[in-house]
Amino acid sequence: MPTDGFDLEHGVRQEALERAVARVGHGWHGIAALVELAAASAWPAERAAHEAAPDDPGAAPGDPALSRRSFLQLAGSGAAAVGLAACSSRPSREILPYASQPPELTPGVPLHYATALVEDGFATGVLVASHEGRPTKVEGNPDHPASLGATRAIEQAAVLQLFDPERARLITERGAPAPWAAIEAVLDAARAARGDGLHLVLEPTTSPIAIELIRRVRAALPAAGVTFWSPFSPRASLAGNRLAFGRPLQTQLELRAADVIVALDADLVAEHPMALAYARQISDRRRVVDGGSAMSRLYAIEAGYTATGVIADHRFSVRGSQIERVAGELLAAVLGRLGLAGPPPALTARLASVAPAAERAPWIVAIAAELTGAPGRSVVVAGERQPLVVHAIAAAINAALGNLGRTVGYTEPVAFEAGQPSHDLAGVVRAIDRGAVTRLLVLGGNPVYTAPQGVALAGAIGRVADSVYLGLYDHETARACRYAVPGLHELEQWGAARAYDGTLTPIQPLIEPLFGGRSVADVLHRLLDDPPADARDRLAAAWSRLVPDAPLEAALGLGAVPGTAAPHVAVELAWGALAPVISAAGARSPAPLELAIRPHPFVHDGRYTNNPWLLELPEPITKLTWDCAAQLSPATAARLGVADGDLLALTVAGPGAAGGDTVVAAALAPTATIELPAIIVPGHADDAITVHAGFGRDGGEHTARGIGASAFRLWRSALEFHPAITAVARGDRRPLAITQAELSDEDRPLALTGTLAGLAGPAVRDALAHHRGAQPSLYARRPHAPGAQWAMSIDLTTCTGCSACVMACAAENNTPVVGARQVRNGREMHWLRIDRYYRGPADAPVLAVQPMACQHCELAPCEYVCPVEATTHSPDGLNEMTYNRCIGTRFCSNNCPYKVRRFNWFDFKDHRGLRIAARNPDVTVRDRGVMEKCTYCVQRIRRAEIDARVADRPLAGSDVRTACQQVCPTQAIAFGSLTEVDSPVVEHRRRPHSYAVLHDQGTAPRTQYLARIRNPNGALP
Amino acid sequence: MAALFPPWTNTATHVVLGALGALVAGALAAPMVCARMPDATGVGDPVLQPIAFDHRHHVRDDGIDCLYCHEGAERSAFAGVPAADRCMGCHDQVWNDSPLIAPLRASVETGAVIHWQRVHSLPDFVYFDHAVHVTRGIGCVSCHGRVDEMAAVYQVGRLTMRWCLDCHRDPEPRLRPRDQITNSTWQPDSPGQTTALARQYGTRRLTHCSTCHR
Amino acid sequence: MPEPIGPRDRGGTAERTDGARPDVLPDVLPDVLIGRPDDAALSAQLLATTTRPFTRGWKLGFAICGALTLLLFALVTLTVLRGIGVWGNNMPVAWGFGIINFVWWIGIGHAGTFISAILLLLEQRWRTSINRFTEGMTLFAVMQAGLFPLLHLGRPWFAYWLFPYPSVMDTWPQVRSALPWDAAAVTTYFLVSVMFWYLGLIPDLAALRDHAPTRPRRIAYGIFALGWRGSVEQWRHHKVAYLLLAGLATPLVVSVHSIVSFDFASTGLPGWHSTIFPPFFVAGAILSGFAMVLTLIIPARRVFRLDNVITLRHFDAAAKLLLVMSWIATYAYAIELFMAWYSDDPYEGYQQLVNRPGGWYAWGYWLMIFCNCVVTQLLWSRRLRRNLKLLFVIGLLVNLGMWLERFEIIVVSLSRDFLPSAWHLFVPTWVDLGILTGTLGFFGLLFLGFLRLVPFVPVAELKQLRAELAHEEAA
Repeated sequence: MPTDGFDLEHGVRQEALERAVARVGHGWHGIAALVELAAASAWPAERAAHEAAPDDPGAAPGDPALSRRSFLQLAGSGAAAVGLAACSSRPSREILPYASQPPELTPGVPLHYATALVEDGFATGVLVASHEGRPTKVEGNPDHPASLGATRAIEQAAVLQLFDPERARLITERGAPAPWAAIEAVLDAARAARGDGLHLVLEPTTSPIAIELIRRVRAALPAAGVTFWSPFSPRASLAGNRLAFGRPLQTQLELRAADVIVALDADLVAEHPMALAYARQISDRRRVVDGGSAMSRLYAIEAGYTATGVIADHRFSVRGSQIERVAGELLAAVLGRLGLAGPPPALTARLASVAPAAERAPWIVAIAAELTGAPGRSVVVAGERQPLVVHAIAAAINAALGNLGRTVGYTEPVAFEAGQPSHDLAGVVRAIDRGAVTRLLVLGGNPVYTAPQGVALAGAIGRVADSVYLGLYDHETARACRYAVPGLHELEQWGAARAYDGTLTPIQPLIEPLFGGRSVADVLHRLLDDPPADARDRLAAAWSRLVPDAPLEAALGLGAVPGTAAPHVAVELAWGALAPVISAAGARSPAPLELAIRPHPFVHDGRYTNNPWLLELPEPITKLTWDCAAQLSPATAARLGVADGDLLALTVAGPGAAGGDTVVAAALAPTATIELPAIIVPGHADDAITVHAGFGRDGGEHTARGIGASAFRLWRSALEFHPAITAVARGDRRPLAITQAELSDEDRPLALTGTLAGLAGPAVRDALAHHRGAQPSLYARRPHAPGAQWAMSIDLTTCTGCSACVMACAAENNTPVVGARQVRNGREMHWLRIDRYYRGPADAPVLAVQPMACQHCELAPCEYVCPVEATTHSPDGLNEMTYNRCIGTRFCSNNCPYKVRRFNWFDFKDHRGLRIAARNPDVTVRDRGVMEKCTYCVQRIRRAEIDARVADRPLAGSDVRTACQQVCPTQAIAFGSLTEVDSPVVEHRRRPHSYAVLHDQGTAPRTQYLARIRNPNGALP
Repeated sequence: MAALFPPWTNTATHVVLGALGALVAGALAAPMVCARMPDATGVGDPVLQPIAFDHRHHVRDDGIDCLYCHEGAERSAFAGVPAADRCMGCHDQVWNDSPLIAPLRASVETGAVIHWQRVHSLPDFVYFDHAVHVTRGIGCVSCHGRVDEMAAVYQVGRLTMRWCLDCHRDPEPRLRPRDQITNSTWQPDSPGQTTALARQYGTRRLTHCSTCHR
Repeated sequence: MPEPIGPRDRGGTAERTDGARPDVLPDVLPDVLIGRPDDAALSAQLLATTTRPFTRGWKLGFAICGALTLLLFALVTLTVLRGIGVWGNNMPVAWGFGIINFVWWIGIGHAGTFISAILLLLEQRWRTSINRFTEGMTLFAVMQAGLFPLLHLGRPWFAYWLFPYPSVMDTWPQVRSALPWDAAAVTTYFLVSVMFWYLGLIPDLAALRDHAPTRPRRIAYGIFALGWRGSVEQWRHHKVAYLLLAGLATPLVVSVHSIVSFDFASTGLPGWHSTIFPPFFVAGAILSGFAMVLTLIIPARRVFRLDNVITLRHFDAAAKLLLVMSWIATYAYAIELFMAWYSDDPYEGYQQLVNRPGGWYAWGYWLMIFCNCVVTQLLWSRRLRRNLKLLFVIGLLVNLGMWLERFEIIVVSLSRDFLPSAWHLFVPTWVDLGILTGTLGFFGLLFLGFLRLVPFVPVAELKQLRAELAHEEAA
């Protein structure tokens, strides 16, 4: 009996769901059907939640509402009431089998399908678990180069977006339901005019199938214009490489080969399209097995704290606009040391004159020394929000150091026409202003919201006669257009995409389109007047045509086509072209205060802002949920006279600040202002304010609406992410929903840190040894029961704090969303949290992150205080939490030194019909008033046990992987049985820096940590 | 003036005090008794099904094995109820025109689901797995009783936690050879046999909470 | 009555020593029963409290308490319907006002049993005229307290799982946890207190049966008098039963709050993990109990003009006890600080030496010290011990102080324990405050009813006392 609210032989609700949903698809009865759907799927959840023990009064009557009421009525009359309730007859429930059961399906046994989730055109391969046709959990695809078995938090939350009840459902014209015929009319007219006056705006695409389609459109409708837009798609790197090598190229890194990595405002491990792979590569070079490990050295030079900054050995905070100056200084220093002949004398002379600013001279010199000391084994990487000159300089340094072809390679752009004029959104506006556009098709994305201030798209669309939007939500762009057509979620459609490295990835649906939407391909095919065909057949046909040597079936099985990565191209550094630009680098004098616009780590550019899971996931550095804040350094905060939560009015200075690109200065509003609460981030660069994009949405998505303000309103031009701004304290406050108020660890031995050199010496080893091993006790230690003894080990050296594990835990274990108000009151429900502590000086602190969940203590304080034994110890070493036995005294939480237990203060579980479809049927949905906590994913353990016993084979520790372990991009989490001497978790425990948190409390936790080991440059303080 | 309390009030007092005591005792005992009543546990009342399916006929007379229809029992947590087309496998030859199976034909033709009524229903926080029981030598009859003798299936076991624990604390006597799982009349020929089976199956006494509650 | 053993206080001299001039005979204690009224006079005076017409003040008080009681029931319903999320509790402060109020009320309950049982066994004569009063207070306080363990549960409808009974789940409460013991202890304490109170009441109920003005009331009282006729035999049984119950109740005074203290002492939480808690809690309980006695009896004495039966002798003794208990509490606070420093446990040290005196809730800590340790020192002075207005104020302050003590122990300890990442403030909601005031109202309601339904000064016992005194003075 899965407790996700869906009844067992799911044929049942699944069909109910599909029936209802099918009707929702076709317009009118939509709402009614949806209600029916909600009803169909909601009541078992109610019942599920209403945990019924055979002799408990609340439970006996079937309808929980009734039983609750009856409890209240009878509460007064006490025991007699109990008797009455207990005596009442039991509800009969139904079993609804399939009329015709799919051959591959056994009710109760989930199936996994390989597909891909796409962002800014780049694919991340995933495996999706499906329970009787209902996708419930996303995992990374180990065979996919951009996943390697891991995902980000965003992919973990994809199922909730799929089942988002606020998705667009009806074709509308100005909000009123419209027939598909109306859209067809527009398309036919456009075709009749051979594309004259037609303009398409799409998201950047890498799919060969889509590209072929677009080419056909261009051919058939030559007059049509096509523009690709996504605010954070790679642009600067391509432009920078064009500068360096004469044509737009995409940078590919091989970080395993790099001994020295210098990240110039580049968040390689969390933000890059290839972040998962790069995180793995970096961590592979940083795991400390013993003192002597050959550990790479990572320098992060950035304004705000990023995940890369968190794991860096040295982090220097430099405001974004000054990075190009730093880059220039670095180039000068490197070339100075190499005495290279490459650059033209003018440039060498110019560079010779460049002297690092005094405050950073020491580390610029030190880094340059390190780089020149590791030619061919080092790499300098520039971030996408840096101007192209920084990328050019990075390329120059890498070329000078001979890193090309070793740690850095270049490929043709994977995205279609990337780095070419068609990727300039301003082009659309100019075309419209010319009156050259009468029909606008916006297929996907949300350009009206994400357009830079310089691009007045919303107004322009208003001037177009027929504008059609296709997408998931009724958001800003959908509302700006005349027609809006429901789109398809990636888990609903057939297609293909390429990973950042070019690997071809097939996309297959997990479920029928819930709201009968249409894909981009559908619209383009209709535009071309292709005969209607099944999406799968279309894909198969196109696939066999475009990728003849890789059959679709095999590709779908694997989730990727091996060997399709884009080939590296030979490049020659064009010093001539570079010289003038580099000479000009950093000439601009810094503004008194500047902005840094960054994609939010979880809602990205706003496309995921309607996803409650992602909104409640604490932002890794600030621990902020459900809001967006102005991050600034303590010094800057003092200067502006604000503290956490004080509202700041941020205003971009006039048009002068606009960077040099195609923006029509006239289109700029004289000034734009947004209001955001300040949040102080130690280690943030002074005189700079970082704001995450993706908030301040005012479309039709109720969840996202009205949260925070949009950084895009301060974004002047597509290549300028650091505009000069002014900030004024507004005087009033907005309390922040942050999950960790404390910055300091009070010098307590919680997240231990050390240096590689230190670890080699006895002092550190002995100090660490005090935090592990058996504690003296008057009692004999209980011997372990036979069989597996589960344990976990978390490597703080490679943990980037990216929070994918937190999201994976929530997705796997049905942990509810509680909302900003409850978070403010310390009632968030995540079983796994990531503690964050600052150490050292406020201007240059070292940040320690530490995943913290139930430690499964062998001598658990929570267990002996529970009056009803709702939390107990299993023979295989789990600290069990039995929800249906819990009466909610919360005594266990009081006695938990790690405070990792969560309590259902209200009835937190989601009751909205559709969202409960994302629940995991193998985990009980908790009722109001019960305690819950990390279970080491006991459902997976028991499943593995049962499978092993059914298959009559011994259970291996490797049969079980917890959700957090499986998703971790850097494989920082090891899980297994202590009885297997060769298992990773045992091997971790043998390392010198393995320790237990609060070891002195004698709780003997089963979860232990590997201290965070840094590899600092001895030449630097 | 007359006495405030006539003599009979002495008796009355004793009666009332006695009654009060009985009431309290009864109020405490009643729910515990009720919880064990068939009304509460659901034991023994046959459930009316949309199709008058007779297990006696199919199992005893036709000798159809339990697993032919409830195929999930060996592989899945759920034994499952056969899809309509499974029934039709036989019934488009035999009894295919019987009005009794009209709903069945309708289901196969239109895909409308048949609303079978659940007989054995566990609370949602209990994760029972058929496969592991069946493959480790627990026969159908141990929990479901002599279904082969039931016209309309009814619940035999109480399905209370105590009822589950009775077996989980001492599974041995219920064990049987794998090939006898679906045989509802099988008896061990020697008391030692189940002990041997326990050794063969590696039977464990699983009473920790997460065995069933997750 | 057997000759009592040990030092016994003679009843004092017969002449009046009035509160106005307490130092007339500085070395002699005031009288316990001024004017030695005869049985008839005592009956007339004391039984009259149940028959005298209702004053406007009483009606007003009853109305206010009634309103607050309704508020309490409303908020309880709200809490059960919506969940205890309506309280301010959070993680890490999982216990808040609920448990604070529970411990506070239970503590208040202690004075009653202490006076009626322990002082009875100790032959303290001054207990006689106030024991029923305090027993009543105990009952009603425990009733308030009993509300909270039930209400603070996440799923109160399963509260019966705390008691061992043959469940079809085959599950039992866990004896290693303090909470089932708590449930058992509080229930036992309540039942024994009820029996003790009722047993002492029987002779007076009989008296009321005979004196009550109307027949219905006579019948009503008569039923509860269980046919008491005051025969020698009945008196003999009554005395034996009363002493036995006193013997039974005495260990309860110690056990109940000791067990309550296990809810905290048995954990590892800095600020809770302390072996001094049981005696500390018991002393604190008696301290708050006596404070509440003063708070209630001083107005009652005035309203019902009982200066002759509740004399300065009683207040003097109560005040002395208050002082002793306050010193025990002070010692406990000191020991907590000392152990925190001496144990060199960083977490305990932070809790006791940094968080409580200097943390978010420092104001509460210092106010507690002022109420429980400083103010009470005034009671060294005999003059002040007999200044009723002052005693009344001190009583109120100590009640406040004892509530704050529980706040310090529970909320402050929880708000900052081991991992700073989990630290979080606790802020009570209006529901928290409403429930607290509601219980005060409910308590007052029951008490006002009690004052009017039965003689709150035990008539029969007082008559015996007078007889004893007369006998001694004759001798």
